[in-house]
Amino acid sequence: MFELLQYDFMQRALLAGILVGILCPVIGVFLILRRQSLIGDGLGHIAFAGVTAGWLLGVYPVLSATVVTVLSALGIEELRSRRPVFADMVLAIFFYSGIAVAIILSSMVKSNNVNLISYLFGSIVTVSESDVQTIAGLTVVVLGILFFIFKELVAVTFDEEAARVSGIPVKKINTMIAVLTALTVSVSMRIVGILLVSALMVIPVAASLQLSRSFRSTLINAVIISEISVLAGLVLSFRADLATGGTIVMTAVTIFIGAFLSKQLNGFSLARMGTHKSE
Amino acid sequence: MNVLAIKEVSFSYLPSQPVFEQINLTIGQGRFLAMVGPNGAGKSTLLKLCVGLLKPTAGRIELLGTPLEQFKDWSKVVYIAQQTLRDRNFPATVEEVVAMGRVAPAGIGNRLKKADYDLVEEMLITVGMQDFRKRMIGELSGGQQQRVAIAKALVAKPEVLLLDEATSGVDTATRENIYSLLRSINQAQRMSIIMVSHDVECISHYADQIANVDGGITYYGDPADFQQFCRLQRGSRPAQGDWGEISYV
Repeated sequence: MFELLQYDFMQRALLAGILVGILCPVIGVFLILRRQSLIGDGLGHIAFAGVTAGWLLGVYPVLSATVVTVLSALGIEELRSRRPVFADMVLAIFFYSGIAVAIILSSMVKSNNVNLISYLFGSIVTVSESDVQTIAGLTVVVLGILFFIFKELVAVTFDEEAARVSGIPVKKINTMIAVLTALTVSVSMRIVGILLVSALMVIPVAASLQLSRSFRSTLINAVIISEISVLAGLVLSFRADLATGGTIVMTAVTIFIGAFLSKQLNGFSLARMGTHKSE
Repeated sequence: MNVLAIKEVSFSYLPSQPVFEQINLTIGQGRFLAMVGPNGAGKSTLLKLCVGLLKPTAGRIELLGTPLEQFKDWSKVVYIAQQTLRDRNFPATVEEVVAMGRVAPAGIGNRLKKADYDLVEEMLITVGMQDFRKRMIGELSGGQQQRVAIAKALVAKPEVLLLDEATSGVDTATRENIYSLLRSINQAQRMSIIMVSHDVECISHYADQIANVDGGITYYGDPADFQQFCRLQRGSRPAQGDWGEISYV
């Protein structure tokens, strides 16, 4: 493990991975409980349009992707709040528009597309010093805002109507979570890739939900599972020369399957104990 | 002072189908009002209008003496929806759910303090759920979840508590327990309670005022007189127990 740290690119990848591993599940808990698991996926595709636009305009792609995803997230949230029934349709329209724009713009990029592909699938070797700085900066901002509005976010997620009546600014909180999701997508795409960015928001939380007995423990376990997935995935992808994003996500999926089976077996054992007692 | 004044209020979801037109209702401080009426009469709609979740098409509503559009003191009002737990898989303990009632009073950016958690414990004892504090909310029965919802409401220390069908889906004994709990809170804390209910007969033993909502307010007054009103309404039609046709259970 320690010999990996001899490589500069691995140090950068591990640092960026640790930050992304905290951020994704923390925001993901709220997305899953709000039934918005796929918003990260939609914003990821929109982020790709931002990356290609940045590439064409000669702007740092993470910056252009951040601007495009934040603006799109605001648009999605505004339309979702006006027409909640059509929320998934709104997301789908943004999703397809994003990928369509990305395809058009990437066809206009004259240089080689290898770097663009690294954004799609994630790559540890292409994580630069400025990527790490951007990821660190955005992580501090997102976690800081989340810490500030955390209890309101939990209350709104649990019961939006009751939260609104109690005077919590529900619309502002919803807008904030949309913006934070967009920032998280932009931050995470360098490590897990645009196509799998949503997976790191969803799968560690889904695994944690199988094991946890409170909101607090759900959050903590999700971060632990996410960190294990990121670190194990990074090391494995380096050792076996596999795609980084895919390896990280498959590690998380394996943990989820283990957690799910463990819960089922526990339930089965408890049911059997109950049967024996009643006998 | 009136805690709630509904003045000439009309409302419709579709322009051609008014739910009710120009209704009036005032509720004094410390009262326990039960809103009863048949399905689809607009009881829940009226309650949502009272807390600003819906806007009236005409007329105005005053909460604690202030027009609803200008009302800012939402920490004094708590609303409990018909479905208190929208997702049985929500990963929160009873204690965590009740503590959510302190979120708005604490204010954005402020952590909950020891005093907040002491209040959570006190209200768990008040509703008899102190032994369930570490249980997951989704594992509780319907009646227990309602008690938790009431504890969550009480920790906010409201002046007005509005409940929409707080006892739907629970058995008769649990229902009476919850009504009795609300009555004791109403009397001990002088908290005004406005509650939508289907169960006219049972709620009449606990509420001190009844409003019958049926396209408008067709009755407003004492529960005892409401029984007489029901008999008159029933006229020569076949009786269904003491409460006749206005037995919405």
